[in-house]
Formats: sequence, structure tokens, C-alpha cells
Amino acid sequence: MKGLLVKDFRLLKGQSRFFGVIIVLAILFAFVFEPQFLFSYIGYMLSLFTISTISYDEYDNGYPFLFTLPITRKEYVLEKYLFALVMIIATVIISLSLYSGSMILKNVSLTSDMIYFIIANILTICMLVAIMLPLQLKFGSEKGRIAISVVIGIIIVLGIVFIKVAPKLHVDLTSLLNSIFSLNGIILMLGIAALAVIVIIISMMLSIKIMKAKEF
Amino acid sequence: MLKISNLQKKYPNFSLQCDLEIAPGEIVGLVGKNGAGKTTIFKACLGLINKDEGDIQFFDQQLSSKLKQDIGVVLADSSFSGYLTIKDILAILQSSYQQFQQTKFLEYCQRFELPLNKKIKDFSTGMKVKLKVIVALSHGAKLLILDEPTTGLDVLAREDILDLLRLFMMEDENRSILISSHIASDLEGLCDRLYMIDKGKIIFEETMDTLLNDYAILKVSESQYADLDKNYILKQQHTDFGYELLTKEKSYYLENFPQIVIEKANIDKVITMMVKGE
Repeated sequence: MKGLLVKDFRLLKGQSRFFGVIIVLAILFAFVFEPQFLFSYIGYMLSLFTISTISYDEYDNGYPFLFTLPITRKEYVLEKYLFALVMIIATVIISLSLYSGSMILKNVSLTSDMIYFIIANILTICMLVAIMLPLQLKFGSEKGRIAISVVIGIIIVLGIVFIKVAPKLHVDLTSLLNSIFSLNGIILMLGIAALAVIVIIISMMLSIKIMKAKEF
Repeated sequence: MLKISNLQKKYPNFSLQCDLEIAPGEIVGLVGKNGAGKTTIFKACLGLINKDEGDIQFFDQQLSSKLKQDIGVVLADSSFSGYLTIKDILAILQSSYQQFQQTKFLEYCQRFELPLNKKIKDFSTGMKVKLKVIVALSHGAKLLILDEPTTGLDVLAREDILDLLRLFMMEDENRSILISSHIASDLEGLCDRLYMIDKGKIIFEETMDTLLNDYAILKVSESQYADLDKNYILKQQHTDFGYELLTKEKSYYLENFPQIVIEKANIDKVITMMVKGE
């Protein structure tokens, strides 16, 4: 597994220019525009790095050789999640540093709402990666992008359908949302965190199953 | 070292059925035309495809990630991602293989003039092939599984690679190699034993000494054919001038039929006769 991590960090190093552009844009977000978006922006970009390592592995039929190295398919999958975790930790560190800098410079103090917003953002990124990874492993880099768009589209459509259908089922969405947001912030965060953990576990199980079934 | 028993793999238009064994210290060649099933055997051995039936044992064990430490692999159409450099690969191998030999790896790279900081996707075909072989040779493997390791190389580079393989065998007498190649002369000068595969089945197995010393091609006219003892003829093929016949009893025909043309067999000729002959 260590070899795989080294491989992915080396591939990441090859993308250092792209990384530089992200940092510059992140600084602009932090000090010129809205610093709240830092977490989503950096988080999304670093998640894309994780997904892109799968494209690099696939490039020029690289998979067969990769699996002749002393690794198992399960280890390969777990390494991708570990790499994603490292990317998310990096997101938190970079975003927090820039965010704090921006707060000090603008002389703004941190409110609990802001903290909840940041945590919710990071957890959303975790869930997004958890949805993207199995799709990318299943469909590969070309079809994977389409699959990700389709799945996100389906989620949006389901949301719209739910909003339309809810009144007919005598579900009052406004009061439902009000009651969710009136929950204690910590409980709300714990709820989102629990949801993220469930999504990640299902995602990992799916990814392992997908990779074990693959023939190269 | 490697034992494949009743390996079966079925595809819609192709099915493989194979038994194969490699002893310690042995170099075994696998030959056959394109699509005969060579790569399918390699992939099944390495767990890259699921087998339908059969058993594959390395060192009397099933393949595992621990066992892969002792196996060096070259695949014909797959290698490290082209976006990596040799320096990157060195770091990956160092973190993957317990017995990785950095000095040897760098020495081989230098010998074949491979740049350490250039992305592999920008390498020439020959450079890519050399790198694949170097990777397989640099982590103290006991068994090499090499699918077409000399494809795309010029004569001199091929000879260099074959020398490295001979050196690999000389360093430890218990090491083994399973190798496939389209270039029969590479195998003739290297292998101890040969398996021939056609349409997913092993159709021929012989030691290289026997193949080169005892096998022969008899070239006979129609009338010579009529008078010939055909008890030791394995395959025959009708030609413009008469018949070409494959035998394993070269000396018998040399002694008893001195008037006919008898040519020494080589791998290419034996493959042609075994596949196309009747």
C-alpha cells in the first residue's frame, strides 16, 4: 500500500503547476472575495486530484501491470480512500490557514454558524468523493465523468420530485426544514457526519466489490 | 516453481485449457501465433483475470500479494503510468518490494541510457521495453514471467536483454523464467523447454535440446513420399514440389533414407508444421 501512496503523491507532484493555480485562486477567494467558499473550492479541486489518479493508473492500459505489484485489489481501493483522506486533511489545513489569515486581516471574529458552515462543507466534499470514487472505478475515466454527471443529475431530479410530491403526501417541507435548522448546531453536524460515514462505508464496500470483479 | 493444472477460461469466441509446469532453474518458453492464448495464460497466472476452472500454484502456494514479492513481471501491453519518471518508479519500487536493489536498478538504467527525469510517455518504444525488463529484474525475484519482453527492440538491444536474463539465471540456480516471444531465435538460444499453444490448447511440449537435435523437416517428392516409412512422421504438409514432413527421429531418416533432403528443425518451422500440418 505504501508503494501506491508514493505513486499517487508522485503523480500529484507532476501536477504542481495546476496546484499552484489553485492556491493563487484560493488566496483571491480568501482575501478579495468570499472566504467561506475556500473550503468548497479547495476541497473540490483536491478531490478531483484523487479521482484523476485513477485516470493516470488507467492511462495506456496501466492497470494490468499495476496489479502485478505486491498489492491486492482491496489494498488498491483502500489506498484511494486514504489518499482522499489526506487530500481532505490538506484542504482543511490550507483552507483554515487562509481563512484565519483573512479573518485577522478583516478583523472579523469567527461565529459558531461559520464553524458549522465549514464543517458541513467538508463533510459534503467527503460525500462527493465517496460518490465519485466507485463510479470512476466502475466506468473508467471517460465514461466515469458521464456517470458522475448522471448520478448528480439523478440526485437533483429526485430532490425536485420530492419537493413536488411532498405536499401531496401531506409533508410540510417548510416546517421540516425549519425543524432541521432549528436543531442544535452540534446535533445537526453529528447528523451530517453520521450520514457521511454511512455514505463512505457503502462507497468503500462498493468500490472493493467493483475492483474485485474487474478483469484486466 | 509454477504449476498450472487444468486451467480453463472461456470467452464467447475463445476457450483456454492448459497444463504447464516450471521447475526451479528452468527457462520455459511459450510460443504460438497471435491470439493463441499466451497472454491469457500469463494473465490468469497473475490473477488479472478470473479463471473458470483449475489450479495455479507458485512455490506450492496460491498467488498472494506476499508471493508477488518473488515474481518479476513484464507484460506486453502494460506498464507503469506514462506520467511517471524513472525516479518516481524507483521510489515506488523501493516502497513496494522488500528486496528492491536500487544500485542494480540504476546501473541497468545507465547501461541502457534511460533518462531518470523524463516522463515515460515520452520514451521510445525500445526504451519502454528496456525499462519494463529492468523493473522485473530489480527486486530479487525468484521467478520471472515475461510476455514478449523483446518486442520492439533492435537486434543488439535484444541480445543485451537476453544477456541480462542469462545473468539473472546464473546468479541463483533455483530461479526460473517463463517467457513468450514472437522471435523464435531469442527462445532457441535461451530456453530449456518449450510449450506451443494453438487455439487455447497446448499442442506441443519439448525440451529445446530434443527439438533442435532430434526434430527435422524432410522434404520429399511425391515418389519419395510413397516409398517413405511414415511411422515416425508427426505432421505433413503438401507443397509444390511434394511434401514437407516433421519428424522427431532425424537420425533414423538420415541413416535409412540418405537420398532425401533433411533439414534441421527450428521453432518457427515446428510451429508452422504443428499448426498448419495434417
